[in-house]
Amino acid sequence: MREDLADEQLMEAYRDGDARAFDVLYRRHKGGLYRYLVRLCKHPGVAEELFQDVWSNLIRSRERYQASAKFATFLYQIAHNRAIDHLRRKPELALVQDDPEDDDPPEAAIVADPAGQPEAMVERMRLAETLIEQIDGLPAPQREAFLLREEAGLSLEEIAAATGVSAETAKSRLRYAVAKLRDGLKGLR
Amino acid sequence: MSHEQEQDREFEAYLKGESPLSQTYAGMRGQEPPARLDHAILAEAHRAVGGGAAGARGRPAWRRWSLPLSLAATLVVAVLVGLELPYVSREPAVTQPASAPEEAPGVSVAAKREAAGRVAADKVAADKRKVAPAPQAAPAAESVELDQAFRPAPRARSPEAPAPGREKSAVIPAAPAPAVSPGAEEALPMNTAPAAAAPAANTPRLEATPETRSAPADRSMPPAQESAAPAAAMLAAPPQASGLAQTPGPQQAWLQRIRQLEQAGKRDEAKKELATFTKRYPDYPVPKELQGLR
Repeated sequence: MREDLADEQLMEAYRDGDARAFDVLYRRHKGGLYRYLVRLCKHPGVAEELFQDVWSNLIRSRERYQASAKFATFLYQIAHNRAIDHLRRKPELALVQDDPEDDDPPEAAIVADPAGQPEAMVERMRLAETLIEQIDGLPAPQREAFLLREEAGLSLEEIAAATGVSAETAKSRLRYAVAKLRDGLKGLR
Repeated sequence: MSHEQEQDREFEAYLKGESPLSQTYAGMRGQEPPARLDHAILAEAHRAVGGGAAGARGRPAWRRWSLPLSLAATLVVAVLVGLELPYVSREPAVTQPASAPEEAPGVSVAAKREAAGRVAADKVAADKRKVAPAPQAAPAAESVELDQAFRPAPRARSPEAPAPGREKSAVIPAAPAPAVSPGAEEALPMNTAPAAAAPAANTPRLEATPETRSAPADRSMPPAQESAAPAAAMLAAPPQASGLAQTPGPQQAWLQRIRQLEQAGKRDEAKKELATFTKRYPDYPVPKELQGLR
């Protein structure tokens, strides 16, 4: 069963011509990558464009994939490079603020909990709204480190590899990000 | 515990996945890419590997064979067109001179009558052959030829003499004895001469067939001066030069008609006809007796 295979095995299977292996890989990583790009770029339209670009890039470069690297690192490395390229070409987008009508409301980001009480749901929504604001307020490198950790599940070394910095730099960015977010949420708890 | 130490401790807990921050964030993973992006990316991925090993197994056979089959079909069509091309390119060379007079506006009446006369003569000859013992294939061949020969006459359009009635009367002479019916004769007296003077034996068989073969190609074309030019040049050539040495050409028939008009006292009409004639055949010598009409 393809569902039981590791990402690296699926990618190798896809590289060797198994299109269904890609379907499984895509299903596993599409949400994380999409949220990473949306929250990194803070512009849903740009994020969608980059999202498609990243997967297209992965499809084109499948022949070069070697299982020695973790698949998620490989995928987010492409995503990081594409985002950097895009922001270099259109630096004004780095300053673009969220369009409240274009962006999903905070409750859309919350995973539905049918058994949840209304009060708890309201509390979670308030927390989510604040957390999103806090994440948006982080400097881009710290924001990226946090998103790579949360959405892709990368280790410090893998974050460093994906973003092209040293492990120490990656650790420092993530540490600052976590500290700021915790401080921002303290009053809500 | 200092603030920095507290941060270190919290960070360590975060890295171990024990931080409430991660739990809070984990509850915010509801945002997914739009379905249209899913479709586009998956389609691209499948296309890139040609459906993949599994995809290929799942595809119907006709899709797997569609490319080679379409290539083979293209090749077959190309070969067939290539084989057909010499025949198609040869055909106009034979038929154009014969078909061109039908397109010439001024000539069409005379040409039609002549063609009708020839057709009638052919039919007479065909009838004769039917009476006499003939090869088995002959009637069929004749009927095809005649069928083809009849086609151009109704199609020919003359701006100067739009005479559907005349055309009909010209076609009618399928009657065995006279080549032209009385009606046609009345409508066009000059037609009697060529038709009567052209026995079936003298009418070149080649005439009818090329005319009819070229007809489909010329059908959609309007009568144009350009297409009439080579025809006029050919018709203006001395009769001896062509294969119709024994058959009066349409020019002679036309001139004969002008003569008759003049003799009937219709001088204005004769003048008009002659002017049209000279316009149509500027190089054709006008007989001395008609030069006074100019």
